[in-house]
Amino acid sequence: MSKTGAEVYSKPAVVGVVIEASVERVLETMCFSAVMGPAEMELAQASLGIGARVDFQGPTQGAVLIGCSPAGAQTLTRNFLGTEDITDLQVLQFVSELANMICGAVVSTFGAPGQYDLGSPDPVASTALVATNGTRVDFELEEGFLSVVAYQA
Amino acid sequence: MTLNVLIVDDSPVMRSFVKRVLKMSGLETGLLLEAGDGKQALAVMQEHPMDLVLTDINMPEMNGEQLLRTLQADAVLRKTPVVVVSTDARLDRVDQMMSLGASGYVTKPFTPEGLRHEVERVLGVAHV
Repeated sequence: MSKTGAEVYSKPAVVGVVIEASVERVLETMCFSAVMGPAEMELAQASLGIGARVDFQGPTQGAVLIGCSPAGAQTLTRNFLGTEDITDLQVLQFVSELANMICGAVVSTFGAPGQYDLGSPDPVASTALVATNGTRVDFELEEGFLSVVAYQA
Repeated sequence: MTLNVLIVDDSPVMRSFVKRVLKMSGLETGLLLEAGDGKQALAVMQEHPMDLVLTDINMPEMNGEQLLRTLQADAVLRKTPVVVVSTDARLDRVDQMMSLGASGYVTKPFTPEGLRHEVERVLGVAHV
């Protein structure tokens, strides 16, 4: 018998794998960037400066939060826009878009295509990632760090 | 064939990204104009005939759904093909947008090749 998205979603190890695959896919296709590897949570958390959160509803509901170090966010924004000349506002806008795309990629893995409704991305302080109970994966980027937390309400 | 394309999205960085991807895709583009919502899109389309509109769904003022309804009610503007570009992958959402007159649907994240393929399919042009 196949498991539902909600059943699978309760397994942190599975969620972690899904987060990894989702982040790699989004960074490769939209940012022309690669994940260098896993990062130590304490090291990543200490460098985080910009964050965003996207709520989702569907067979299960919750949220995906991301945090980025300033260097990581700037590099990804440059790759996303294809220019070295970026502004702080563009970096903030990009982090929100990144949260939106990662959340979409994560939840689409847990159910039949298109079962989930995503909310609008909201900026959050990077400390929100620590305060959120859920499955967390930290990534080392070409420059800086990216952390992702997915939790079920 | 040179394409004049209107990119409609409330996120300026996403508009810039779509513009970049269109250039990377190998499609021959002419005017690449931007609008932050449906109302702005309609204003642009009154001034500049477009070959294609790429629009997000969730936007302030006038969203993608309202834009499609308004375009379909206009005898001239309804002829412009619209491709929806959205993170929203719900099947009923795709069906709804196609029923409202969208010609295509691309889900984020997407590759330049994926966008090009959908644009070529919608416009009925040969893949080079």
